[in-house]
Amino acid sequence: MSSSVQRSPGPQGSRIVASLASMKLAINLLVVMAIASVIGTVLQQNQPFADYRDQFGPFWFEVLRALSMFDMYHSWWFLGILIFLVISVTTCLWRNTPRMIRDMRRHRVVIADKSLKNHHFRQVYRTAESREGLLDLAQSTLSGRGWHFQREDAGEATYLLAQKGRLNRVGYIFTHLAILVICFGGLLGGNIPLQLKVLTGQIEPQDEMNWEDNTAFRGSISIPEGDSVQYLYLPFGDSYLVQKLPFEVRCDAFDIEFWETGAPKSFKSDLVILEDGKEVKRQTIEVNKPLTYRGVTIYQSSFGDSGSIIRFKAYRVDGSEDLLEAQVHGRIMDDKSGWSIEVTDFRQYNVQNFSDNPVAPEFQDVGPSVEFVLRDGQGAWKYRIYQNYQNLIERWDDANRQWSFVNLATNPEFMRAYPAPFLLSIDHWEQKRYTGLQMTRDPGVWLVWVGSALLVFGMGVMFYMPHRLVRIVVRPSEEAGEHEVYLVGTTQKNVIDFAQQFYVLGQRLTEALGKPVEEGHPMELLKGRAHQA
Amino acid sequence: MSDHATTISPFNTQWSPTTGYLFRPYLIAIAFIAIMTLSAYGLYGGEIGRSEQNFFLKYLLASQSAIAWMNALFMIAAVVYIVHLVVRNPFAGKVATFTTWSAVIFGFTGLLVRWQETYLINPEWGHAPVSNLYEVFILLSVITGLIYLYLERRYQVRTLGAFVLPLIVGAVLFDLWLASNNGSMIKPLVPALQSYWMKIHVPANFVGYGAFMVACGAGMMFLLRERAESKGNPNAFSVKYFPTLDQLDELNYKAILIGLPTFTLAIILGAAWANEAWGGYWSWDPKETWSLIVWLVYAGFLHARISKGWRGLPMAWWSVAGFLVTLFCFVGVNMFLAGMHSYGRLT
Repeated sequence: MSSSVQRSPGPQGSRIVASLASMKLAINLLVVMAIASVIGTVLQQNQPFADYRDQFGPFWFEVLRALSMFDMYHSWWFLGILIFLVISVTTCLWRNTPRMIRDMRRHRVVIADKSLKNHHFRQVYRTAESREGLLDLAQSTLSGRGWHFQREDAGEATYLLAQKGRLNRVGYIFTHLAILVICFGGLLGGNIPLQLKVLTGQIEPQDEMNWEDNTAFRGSISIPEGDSVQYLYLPFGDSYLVQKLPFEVRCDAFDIEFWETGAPKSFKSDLVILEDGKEVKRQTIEVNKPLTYRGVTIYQSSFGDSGSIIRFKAYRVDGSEDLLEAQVHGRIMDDKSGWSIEVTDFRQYNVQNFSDNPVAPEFQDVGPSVEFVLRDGQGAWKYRIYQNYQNLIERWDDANRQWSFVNLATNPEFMRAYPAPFLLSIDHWEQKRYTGLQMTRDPGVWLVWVGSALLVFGMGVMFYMPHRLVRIVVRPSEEAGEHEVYLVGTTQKNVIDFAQQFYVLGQRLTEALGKPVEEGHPMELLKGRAHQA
Repeated sequence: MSDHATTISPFNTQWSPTTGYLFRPYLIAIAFIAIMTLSAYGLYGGEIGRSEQNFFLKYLLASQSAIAWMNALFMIAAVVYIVHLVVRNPFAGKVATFTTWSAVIFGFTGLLVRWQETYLINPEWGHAPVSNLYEVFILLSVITGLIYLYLERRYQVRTLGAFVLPLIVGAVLFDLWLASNNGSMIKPLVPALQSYWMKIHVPANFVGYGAFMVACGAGMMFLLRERAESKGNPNAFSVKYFPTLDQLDELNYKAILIGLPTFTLAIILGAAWANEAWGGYWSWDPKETWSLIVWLVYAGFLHARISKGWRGLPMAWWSVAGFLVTLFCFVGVNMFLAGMHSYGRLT
């Protein structure tokens, strides 16, 4: 062990090593990381670039973008801080581990008189008892209390050594090793080779990534019910990359259930995995219940309308009626009037609370609704209608940014202000939805869990298993026929507990041997101790 | 080897608590909580409506009533602790401790009965009462109370209560405000929360938060006493009646020793849950990021104290400032920042 320390680099090198391992550097890095993290929570990350440009103006937008502030947790400089932290922790471990292992093994049973005086807790007895009797007393005092026990004779003296928490320093090694393991797992999942290609400009937005080329990714894809895909999109700045998959994912059905309060109860997708057209796996996934296949985990993350078909009945000013068919997110032209209808949303359920009493709500579903925008080339008007309430229409008030209800039967004013030459009602609908899936391939995740386990275990050992050491030394006194009994102890941490244990041990000896002739008790030290801030 | 054993016990080393002595009140409390919770179960008999009809449910055991008792008892305890600090009457001290234990018993009973009630309202709704801000603030109050009571008994420092209990009362008042804004309604869980991870991730967090709150109490006392001492005023109230600076420093440290490992565990459990629900163990969500900052703050605290041997004043400031960061992580993020932990919203 010690030879490796001697072989460490020369003065210049050792200064670098020392500064890397210094607490100052580690603390500075942690502070920088903490501040950077704060910025990232205040400045919303990964929003569309157009939003940032509006918010900051063209100049600051370019500056912030150059600093990767819009995706800072994945920026080169944030990664740089992490790498420096890893180097710093590694150097600390490298420097301290040998010393700690040495310390763990160091405690000799037989020690010199000088070291006997170095223990903070010290009680010395002088007695005429026989050696055999004293050894019995010493053994019975120390044994049976969970101490690791050793005994050695040196000449006329007998040394007893009892220790607890000898592995305390393992805690230091484990916690710091844990940080390295977790960071390493994170780097594996963060896909360094890809990041390097991005940095050197080998990858352009919308490039296709092969399965073999990309060992770690996290992206998303929308699949309309009944469709299948063999790729997904990975976020890439303001754009995306296409990641190919070695299998096909088909969504047979997507289903939402609602609580009676109208809040969503479950989102479910019936997924089928196909390889070369053959079904290899079938599973219904839900939020909190993903599917894993060939190292890719597939999560339910969102859903939406993939173009439900809405058939409207149009009541025209000339008294005629006809049917118009449109799709959600689509726009149709009504040739008879020259107006266009754009369907912006369809909702199958609309649960509302019909009670004024907040303690006893009464929820009821009022049925399907459609939201659409009418345009005639001069203006746009947004409305929402309900299949089950043909007299009701909701109008979007752009100025106040809210919906307002109108009952057509009781409000003729409304019709006078209504711009279009027709009224619409919902005649029929056929819902079509897509499921939004997230897919993750992360070969480093197991390392993160290993590191986490090391971290918790290490903290437990470090904080709750302090190293404690008690010695009893029995040896002949200078006065013939008498013996001296030393009871000494030290601890690194949790001195309070140790002091109490030491007190109990001392009591046992005092009961048998009378008052100690010498006492080095921390309470005395404490009295004269000025407080140091 | 440098010897860090300058930590000489600032406490009365002549006194040695036995395990039995330390845990007796916990056993009594558990017995009370069990009896009260089971009584509520029996009295309800599967009918949520009985919370208004049955006398004992209405005034004692229904979750709203039990929690109201907890609120009142914590407030009384805070007052009695302050009285005890001022008049130094040992009986007042005992009353304060007893009241705090009662508050904790009522609080835990309230949470457990609320757990039953979620099933009584609708068997499908049933869930552990840690799903919204109102519920977790009750949890925070009782857990902080428990951590405080442990340290009080372990180190025989009752005066600390005069600083910790008012912090708990702060949580209680916030919860009353939430309840007045309909925050206390029992609602079914959204899909993201329907997971066994919720039951362990959330409570683990609050052990951490609670411990940091107790540490903050010790830190504040330290700052007050240190100020008086540095002014050379031996007759100052804090100098005469607060625990010594060494004791306060040690209590601050002890509380963080409880807080950091549990908070670490909470983050790890959260990461495990995120990995199952969101497709990644770490997404730099504002809550995640702030919990990392909190973790760095207290990891820094322990490094400064253990490796650098810092004591006293800087550690007291550290602990008070650290609690402000904790507070932001746990309430501020929900108030000011968007993100995926939005079910902890204010209203």
